[in-house]
Amino acid sequence: MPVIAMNQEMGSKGKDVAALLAQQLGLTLVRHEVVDHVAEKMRAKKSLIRRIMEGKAGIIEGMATDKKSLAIYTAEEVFELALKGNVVIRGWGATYLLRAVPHIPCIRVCAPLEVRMKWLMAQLETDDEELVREELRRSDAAHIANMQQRFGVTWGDPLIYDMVLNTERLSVETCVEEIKLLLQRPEFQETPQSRAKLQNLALEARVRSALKSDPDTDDINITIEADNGHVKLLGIVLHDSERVAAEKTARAVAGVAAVDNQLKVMSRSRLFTSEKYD
Amino acid sequence: MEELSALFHGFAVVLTPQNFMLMLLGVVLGVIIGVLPGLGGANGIAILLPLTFSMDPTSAIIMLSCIYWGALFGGAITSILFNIPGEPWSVATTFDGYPLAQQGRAGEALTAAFTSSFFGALVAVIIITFLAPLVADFALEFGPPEFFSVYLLTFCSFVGMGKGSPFKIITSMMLGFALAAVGIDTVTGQLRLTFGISELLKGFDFLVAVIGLFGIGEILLTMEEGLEFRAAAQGKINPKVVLQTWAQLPKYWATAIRGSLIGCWLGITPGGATPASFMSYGVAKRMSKDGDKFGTGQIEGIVAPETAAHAAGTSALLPMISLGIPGSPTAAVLLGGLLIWGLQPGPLLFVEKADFVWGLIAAMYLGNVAGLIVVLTCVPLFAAILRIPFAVIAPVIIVICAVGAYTVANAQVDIWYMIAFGFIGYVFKKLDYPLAPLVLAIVLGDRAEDAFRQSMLVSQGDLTVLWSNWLVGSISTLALIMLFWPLISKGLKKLRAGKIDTLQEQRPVE
Repeated sequence: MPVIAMNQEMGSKGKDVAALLAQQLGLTLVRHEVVDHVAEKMRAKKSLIRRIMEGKAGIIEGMATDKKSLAIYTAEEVFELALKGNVVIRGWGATYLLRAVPHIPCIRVCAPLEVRMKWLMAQLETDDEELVREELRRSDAAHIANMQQRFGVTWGDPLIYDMVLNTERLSVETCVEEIKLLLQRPEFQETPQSRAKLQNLALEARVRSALKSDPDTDDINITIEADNGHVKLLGIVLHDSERVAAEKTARAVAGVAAVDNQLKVMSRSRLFTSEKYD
Repeated sequence: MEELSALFHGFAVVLTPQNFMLMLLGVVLGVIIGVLPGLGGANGIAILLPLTFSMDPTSAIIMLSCIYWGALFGGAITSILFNIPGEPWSVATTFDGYPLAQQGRAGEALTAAFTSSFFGALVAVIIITFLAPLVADFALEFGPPEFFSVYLLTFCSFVGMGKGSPFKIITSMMLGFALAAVGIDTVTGQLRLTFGISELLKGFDFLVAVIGLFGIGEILLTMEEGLEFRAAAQGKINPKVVLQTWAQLPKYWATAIRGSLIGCWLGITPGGATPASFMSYGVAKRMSKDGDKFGTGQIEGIVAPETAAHAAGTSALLPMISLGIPGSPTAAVLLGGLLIWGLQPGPLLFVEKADFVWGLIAAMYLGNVAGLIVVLTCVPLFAAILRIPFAVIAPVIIVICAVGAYTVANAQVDIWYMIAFGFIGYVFKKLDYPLAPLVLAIVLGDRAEDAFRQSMLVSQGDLTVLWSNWLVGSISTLALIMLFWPLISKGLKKLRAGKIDTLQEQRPVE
């Protein structure tokens, strides 16, 4: 059940690589389906989510949208798709989110700016060079900012990918063949351990999303560690009610067998006569 | 520039061998006070105040203020090594400090805590250096109505900014006013609330109240809790760890500056170090990239509360120096010291006793440097204090408290008052009534009353004197806003909640 995480620079033919790969291997190609679920959970318009991801949202729109929720719900979607398997996930931070799973290859498709401009102008049937250059710049900047803000990594850094393909030098078909070869290598064969790793990550994302969706726990910011259905909650919360609510919400999540609540409450651990002012 | 030359003169005052020794002694005593649960900055200084009666005021204030810095530093040691905050403002330090110690990174945690404390204090002292003379110059224009409005603002801020129920804060404050009124009326010479008892003629000395409320009350609480000390780690700090931690700390510059500013703000207004440390921790958790890991042993989770607590503790002295209004119980005790040494706290100090004021400000700089060196080198010694069983420490503290209370006026009756106040402190704590408003009302009650009566004499009983010019008017208005802030904020919350609901209904969902 292969899972492939990809990202691309706009206009670098990454879309074509993903489509051909999905067709040849009989995989589902996911790009915009993620938006539907995320928009539903955030009670926002799909177009707004798309605009934010593509860096086209206005300043007010950007400020009014809860980026944290967006990141949490997106991560949950990506992990759920990976769990189902047989899928090529393009974008959505999948290359970073799924990097921890050994059997999932993370691939980047890129090309020099001038080459991408040429292709994109041909695709859009336009000769407005400035418009296309601006569009590419904005897309690149949005992706760089997004990856930096969400994961603290540099979008184009080759070290976070298993394979970087430059479509200026390689044809779409060659890229697909390279990825298929990579999939056959022993490093990318699914093992019980790597499957368990993916399940744990998916469960962590599911719990995080459930906490965000519950009004009693939407404001807490904690570490969640899942291990084979056992979920550990670590960190600090404001009130005891949040601590209790977090455990209750985590227990109700599908796939959670037990919750080890190690949350600490941000309150006084002992009494002081001189408390409150000094 | 004038401030700088005055400050350098202050350094010259502090750096005499005698004052330098007193500074070191003060820091060491302060750290011990900070480490011991049952002794806090306020009552520690109150107990040791009698030691300074025979000194010259500058040496005395240098020693006492260094005791305070030491106490601010010391609170962190027990928080990190034992998960027992020595002081209320160190509670937030336990959240990440103790887990770090459990991971065997106590040295790192302690270094981060001390360095952050130092940084917070430094920011606050720099602010004091440049702001205090300005505030004092400004305050020279003050008449009785202005002073009363500032007192009113102080009292109202307690109500508005207090965490507990406003009713309880006001009750505590009213009791303080009642206690402050006991004795001879300074204007008419009449006896008030003495009930024919001659011991009550001189009223209650607030130092005795502080020693009782904070010292004895704390001991009673600790007895009830049955403290057990279990160290998570040996508190040895080797120089290599210190340097490694220092190399890491610049990463958290934003957290440190934010914490310092929160601390300064809550220190200058009567918020205090404890709320400042909690607020700074909360803000850092919200804004940090690793906010989800807070509480599991993050250095940033130590930097935030420590910078804020130290900045608040230090900047609480600004209103005391420039206006004669203490921003915290500890500042109130220092103010009591000033009165005992025959100084009149307030804006005139800068003019009449420039040596004293700038000596104090210079001592803030040097005292913190000395404090940092002392704590970094002697942590194991201070941590060892906690190995002494509480059954031995408690009686010693009670005896020290009793001696301190007796020496205030050489009156045996003060020891009884102290014990009574100790029980009041204990009961207040059990019922969750705050003590600080009571202490500040005992300290400021007299002065507020005098300022009010003088204002009324000048205006022939017309209350509008409190709005007679823009300055007094704006302070009085601000005071009233503060007083009703709990109600105002409730109203605002309701309004906001209403808005959010309507928005949710209007939001289109595809």
